[in-house]
Amino acid sequence: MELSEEMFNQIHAYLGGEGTVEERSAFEQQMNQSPALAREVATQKRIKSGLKINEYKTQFEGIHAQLKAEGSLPIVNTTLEKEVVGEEERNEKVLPTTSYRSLWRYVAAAASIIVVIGVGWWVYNSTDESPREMVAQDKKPQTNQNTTSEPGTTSPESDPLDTPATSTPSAQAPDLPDTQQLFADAFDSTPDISSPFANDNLGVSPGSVARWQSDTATLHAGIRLLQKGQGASALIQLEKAEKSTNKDIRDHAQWYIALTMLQGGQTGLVSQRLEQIALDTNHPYQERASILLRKLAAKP
Amino acid sequence: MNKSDPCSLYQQSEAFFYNELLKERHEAFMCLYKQTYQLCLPFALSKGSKQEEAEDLLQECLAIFVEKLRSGSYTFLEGAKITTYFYRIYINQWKKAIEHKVKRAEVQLQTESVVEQDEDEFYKPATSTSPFVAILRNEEGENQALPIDDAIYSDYDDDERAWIFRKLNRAFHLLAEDCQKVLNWFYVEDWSLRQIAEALNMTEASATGKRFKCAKYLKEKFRLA
Repeated sequence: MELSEEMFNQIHAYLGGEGTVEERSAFEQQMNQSPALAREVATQKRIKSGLKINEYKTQFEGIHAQLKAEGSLPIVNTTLEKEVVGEEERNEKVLPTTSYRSLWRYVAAAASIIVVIGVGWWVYNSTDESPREMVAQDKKPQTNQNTTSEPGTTSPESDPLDTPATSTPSAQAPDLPDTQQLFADAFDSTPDISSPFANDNLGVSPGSVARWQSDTATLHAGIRLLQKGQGASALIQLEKAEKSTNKDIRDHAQWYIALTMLQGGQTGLVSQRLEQIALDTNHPYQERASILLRKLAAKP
Repeated sequence: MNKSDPCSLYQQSEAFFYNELLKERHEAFMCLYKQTYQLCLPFALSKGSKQEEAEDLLQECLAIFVEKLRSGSYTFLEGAKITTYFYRIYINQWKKAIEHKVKRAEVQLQTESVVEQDEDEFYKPATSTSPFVAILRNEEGENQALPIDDAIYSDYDDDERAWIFRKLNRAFHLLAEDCQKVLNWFYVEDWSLRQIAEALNMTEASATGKRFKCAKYLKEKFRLA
């Protein structure tokens, strides 16, 4: 049966519960007499419920990504699981809360050792530095938790629990090239990503919420990988997040992609990226991108 | 960064959990996901399913379950566990997914024999029309045989299987972005024509025409997908 616009509207009026009792029973009678119409009604009903189901599925995919990102997916005790789940992602998925905390303790301890070595090295070499260099170094932020990279605006106090976050980029190892120091200054492991939805989510499509959750989880996964120094894996996640329909997530992703390139020493590409950000007056990282560009330009 | 357990809110009352699911509370969905993940994944993995497939099926079944909640085709019974009901859906859909794979020759004969070999453990013949029952552990830790009632799917005909939803999803994503938006507002969000017209900045008559054209495209793509 060729579906006309009029028939389509009638079918959906019926499926939507519209019309009087008489009108509805007349339509049902029509269906009884026309198997083609009955089939069309069934098809439309199926499409409607199928699309809704797909929306819900997207929402549960988002929940899965969120739980995985938080490391709170339940442990599945099956030997087969070990065969099918590979690489380090699995650790995030199955690690129970307690193991996760233990892991942090080890990372924190390792980071502390790196910081001690870094400080020792700095003390050892400090006599060779000119006063100007020493001042410049003192002004550098000691933690990556700050939301700005401007010199002198950061608090010298840092939470010991955050040490792992600072270990890779900010430990002032003797052979760190300038780009690594710039990365350490600019990197922030906990960017402020605010939800675009009201708390109760009323009137919001479950799919939209799910997509936002999923994109946020992807962005955080990218930032964590970048923090660990796994630039290639980070880039995959961040490029996914860059395709988000949410501008805030896209903007964050763009900034962290630039930082990934900076960490990889690709200064040419970094500059291109940063110029794009610096030109966007609504970009939350515009000012920081401009500062970083100036620093890169001043780099010998 | 571990958040507190979302299920802690619902430990006291299953009826409260059901009501929160009806309201589509995010915490309730999180809790349902965690509980069913723990319940269903071991079953599928022990039968040889890949982790990704098992998770994908779980998410599909949860989506079907929520739609059942929303449409009222599942209602809570006092004293019943929501997850027990869900477990039946999962097993049933897993079985159908295997059957579908076998039909498409994606699975070799040994997979069929896996199902048969494990019947004693998880299924046993119940009636001639519904030859399967699920063995579930009750609160006392005893195994309990529950018939897998195909009537659970009475509102879905034989074509209404998980793979159909995948096919529909594929077809939907073949549409132009503006059509996806219109159909999403219409089929999923239940927006009125006036709302759609306002969002598109056009008259209601033009919005009606666009909605119809997009719905027709989707139907065609769905047939071909």
